[in-house]
Amino acid sequence: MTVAQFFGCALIAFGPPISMFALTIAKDPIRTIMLVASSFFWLLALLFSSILYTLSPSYRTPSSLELSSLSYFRNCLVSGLGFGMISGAFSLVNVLADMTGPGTIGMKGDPYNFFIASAVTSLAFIMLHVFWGILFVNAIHRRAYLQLAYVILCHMLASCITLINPLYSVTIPTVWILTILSGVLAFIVAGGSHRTIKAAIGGHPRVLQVTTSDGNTTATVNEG
Amino acid sequence: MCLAKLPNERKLTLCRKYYMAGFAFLPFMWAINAIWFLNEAFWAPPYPEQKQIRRYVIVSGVGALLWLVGLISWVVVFQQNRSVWGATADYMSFIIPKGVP
Amino acid sequence: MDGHVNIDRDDKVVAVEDSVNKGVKKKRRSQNQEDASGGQPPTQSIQPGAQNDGGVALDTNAAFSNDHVQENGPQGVVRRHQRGGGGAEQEPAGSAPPARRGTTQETRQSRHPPGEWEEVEEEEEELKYGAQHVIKLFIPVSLCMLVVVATVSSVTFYTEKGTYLLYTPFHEESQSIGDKVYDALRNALILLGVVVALTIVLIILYKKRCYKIIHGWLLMSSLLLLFIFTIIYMMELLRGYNLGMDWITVSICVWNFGVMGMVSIHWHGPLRLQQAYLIFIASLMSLMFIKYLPEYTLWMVLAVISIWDLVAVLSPKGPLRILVETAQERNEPIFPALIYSYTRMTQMLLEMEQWRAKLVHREKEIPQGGGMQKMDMWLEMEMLRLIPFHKNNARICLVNYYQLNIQPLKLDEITKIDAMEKDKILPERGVKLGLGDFIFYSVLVGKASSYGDWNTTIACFIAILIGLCLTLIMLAIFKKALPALPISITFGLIFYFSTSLLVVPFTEQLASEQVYI
Repeated sequence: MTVAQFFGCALIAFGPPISMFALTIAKDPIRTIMLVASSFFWLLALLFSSILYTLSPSYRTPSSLELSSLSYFRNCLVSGLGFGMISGAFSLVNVLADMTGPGTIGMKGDPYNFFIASAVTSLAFIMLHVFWGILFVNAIHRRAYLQLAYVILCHMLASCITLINPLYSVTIPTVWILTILSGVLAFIVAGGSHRTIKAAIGGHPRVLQVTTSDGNTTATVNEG
Repeated sequence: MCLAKLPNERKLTLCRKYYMAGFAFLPFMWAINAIWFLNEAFWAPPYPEQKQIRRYVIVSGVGALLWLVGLISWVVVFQQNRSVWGATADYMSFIIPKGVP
Repeated sequence: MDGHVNIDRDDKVVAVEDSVNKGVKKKRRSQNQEDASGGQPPTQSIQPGAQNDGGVALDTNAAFSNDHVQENGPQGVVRRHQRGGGGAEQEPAGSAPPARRGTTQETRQSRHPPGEWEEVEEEEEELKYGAQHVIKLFIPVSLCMLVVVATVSSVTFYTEKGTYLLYTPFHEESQSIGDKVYDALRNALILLGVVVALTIVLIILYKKRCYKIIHGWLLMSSLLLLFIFTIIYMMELLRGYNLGMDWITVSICVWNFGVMGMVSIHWHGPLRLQQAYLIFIASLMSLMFIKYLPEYTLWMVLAVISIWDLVAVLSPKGPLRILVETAQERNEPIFPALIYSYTRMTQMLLEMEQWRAKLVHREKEIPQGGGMQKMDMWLEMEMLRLIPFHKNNARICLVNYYQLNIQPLKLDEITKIDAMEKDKILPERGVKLGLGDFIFYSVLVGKASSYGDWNTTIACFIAILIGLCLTLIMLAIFKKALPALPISITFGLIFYFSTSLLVVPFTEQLASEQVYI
């Protein structure tokens, strides 16, 4: 069970992000560096929040230190992914390492599905970080403060809901609903529409979409 | 180092040296030789030395394969018979696994 | 305008370039050239104060533009992007539209002052190129760390204490932390003394041109690593996984492995193989450090060595600086066994010769004389440096002895032969990292992982990569040999201690409560 569980959980949590990395980022050196840099900033943020944690007697310090970056959505995706991957790694890696080791979980009334729940929630949070990255940067770029508030509130909500955690039947659906909601929002914000999806599926991968600054004109050209 | 940039004669000498060195119980060298010069020997645009290179590549490739097969079969034989051979096998052992007879 | 909705920018670039292929590029180039000649006076295109080598650079440029680069013409060849002009500031807006370049050239021209496009594009290209260099170092560094971390966490031999190096006589056996730190400090200073002494011996040997001794030394050390340490490594690996093995197989494997390693490091071999061997050697070495240095000493050594690196490379009489400068004076590459590069130093001479032959051949086609001399001068310079170049100024060479120095050498404009030719004749060359850096990076990460906490390992890994990145950025700014250890190791140490002291309790709590932030 141990090794199989290790691989299963690792792939659940990190499979999608790694494939995103391989498909969109790995080929571009600048983006790879951005990925590393964004995870570095996440580390810095974590460092600050853990200093807070050590200073304060109560251990709950939901940190929503988000960082903005350049104004392209790919790049937002990249830095969001960097954030997400490092945060996912930090929350799951030691659990994963324990998974292979001797011993098992659930002996003293702890939840049996601790590992799988951790993996699923980690995946949700990685994706959430990606979407938050896109939404947040877009919000700052366009000065859309409602979006900004949405991102922060969503972050707060998602993080706070996990405080009640052994109640998986509440937390996991909530987090995933938030993930899907943010995903759809991010997709819309990034200029996606049914046409782009159709183009992507229908074998015309190259869609040239030009939106002028006032946002009125949208010309979609299929090349291919 | 990039083979494509070498002059043809140097490619040939290099390939020959690798081939010769392989006889000193160095099948790994043959394998490297075969892989490294594979493209030169078969797919590069033809040049006079190519024929010889091709011969060396084929011979070293076959040699490396033979070595690999020989080594693997030796390891299999040894692992199967280690406990049967008794003290002789212990003398030959680099590591004796614990807890396995 | 802010053309921010630009979903798959790169894909579009690809699409455009695929469809029209090189034709577009050529057209663009010539068009830009017109832009430049129309928009700016030619003199402005060559930056007057272009860092050093200026005079020669201009001459050779003239020589080159005179003859072969018909396609580009004089302007195209010598143009240099203007930094600090107005163009740079508009970059975010400017760098998006190249995606549409194939179809909307006219509109583009009308909206932007001519000449700017080329700059932005070139700048972007250069950035990309620099980033590629960084990635090309990231990969081997990560691989080296991966080998070390995997070994440390799966084989107990490398974390067991008991035997220590000869150079560390104080074994930190007392209980109080103060004593331990004192011991560690003394150990580290002794070790530093050894390193300094060896470096100085090497410098003296190099100054006196005792190449035979140096090469013998290097050969011996790689022999030791490739055979004896490999046997130890294999033994521990087999023991760790409890696999039986006989002497015959082991000796054949080690013999093959070692000889091939010697051949590919010190003679000719496939580049990938050489890199793999260098990475392996570096990780073996760092495993040795992890095993044979007492705990506090190891951290102390890391700190002390990076300070030494700083001194040795940057101070005017620093030994490594002397080494690098002497090597430059003598037109020699620094010993291949000490440097990881993604191309081979030893091969350079040969390539230079070929290149020269080609240029001379070309020269014959040109009716008017005068160019030859200049070209010779240029070749001399290029041979003199024996140094890679790329684009305008990213000619970077990292040389190193035990530590890592990064050294960019630049010859200015001269190298602007058309891109095609350059790609064909000249291999891609660039930043080189000393093996010493690989070793100490991996020591840090490996040591962090030996405590069994993966969060610290990841933190150290990220911190070191970022430090390396910063070093490379500084390299691009200062364009002189830089030590690669200080920034990375400082980051690594800070993140190691802060993570293990502050962050880990926090994240442990979070992970066990399944709280996500």
